[in-house]
Amino acid sequence: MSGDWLSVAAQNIDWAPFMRMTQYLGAGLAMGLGAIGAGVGEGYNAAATVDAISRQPSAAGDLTRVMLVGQAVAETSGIFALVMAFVLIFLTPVPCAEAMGAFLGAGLAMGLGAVGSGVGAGVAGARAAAGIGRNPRTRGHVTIMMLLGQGLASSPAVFALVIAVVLAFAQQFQKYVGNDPVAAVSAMSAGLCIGAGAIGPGFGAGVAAGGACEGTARRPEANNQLMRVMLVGGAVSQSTCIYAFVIAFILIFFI
Amino acid sequence: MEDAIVKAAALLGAGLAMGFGAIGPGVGEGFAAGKACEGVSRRPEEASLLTRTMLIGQAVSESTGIYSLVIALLLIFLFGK
Repeated sequence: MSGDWLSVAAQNIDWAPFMRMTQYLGAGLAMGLGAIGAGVGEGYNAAATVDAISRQPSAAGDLTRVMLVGQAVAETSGIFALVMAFVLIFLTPVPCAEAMGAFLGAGLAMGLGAVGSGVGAGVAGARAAAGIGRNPRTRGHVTIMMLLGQGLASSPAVFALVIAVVLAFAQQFQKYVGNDPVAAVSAMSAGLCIGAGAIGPGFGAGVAAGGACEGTARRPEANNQLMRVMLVGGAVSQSTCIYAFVIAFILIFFI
Repeated sequence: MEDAIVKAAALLGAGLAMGFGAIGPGVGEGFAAGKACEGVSRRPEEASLLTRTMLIGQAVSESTGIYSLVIALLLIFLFGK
């Protein structure tokens, strides 16, 4: 640690109240931002299902069941955010400057990280409902494709959860116990990096999965080819999320 | 050896660069994959051509994500250490 004014000033402050502040702020950010994606995604899914039922009322039972399954998967990112908010509220850490950055980072990581996955899983469910509405016989194939695609779309939220958990529990491993301002900002930056980085890939993989679901409904015999294209395309769209994950790890462990 | 505040800003910049830089390529590549799936469902016999075109398009769309990665690594290891 260098001996300049910021580092010296950081040694002479009582960080305890500020640390509680960032814990509650981080919990608010995690749950507030984290609720956006799941809410929008599930609403979009329900809207598409209602639209499909109005066109094909005889498939209402199947469509409602598929909607509920799809919404349950889209909900997972919101539940991750809820768990993270609880963790941040009830944690009792050692007061220090670095912990502040870690808690803000954990909140930002999980809050922003849940947005893309929630919307993406909702888009996949919505396109699946549209496809089943047009061609109710294919509901088995379409449901499997939807679940696979939603799993792909949810993986950025899992990356964000991993970083958020590492940041929140770092003090258990004697990390983030000092008053280095650089490490504090680095921890917050890591959370921001994976959080924002998970938005795009989550949404993109959801769009890819949606295309595959509609395609399966249109031509169920091309199921295998569609699954291959969806997995390759979805995996490529995840790559930027993996870059963000790597940068977040570097920011946490190599600074 | 930079001042602590300069190092902190470089690290924050790295997080911002990679975080927000990853949004666009992720969404764009997803659109490409979605349209490729639709294309395969219309003409399954052209699947390999569609997959190849999708991958080329995604590689171009990926480039800005790689710029972000390079800038983030530069900020961390040149100014953040």
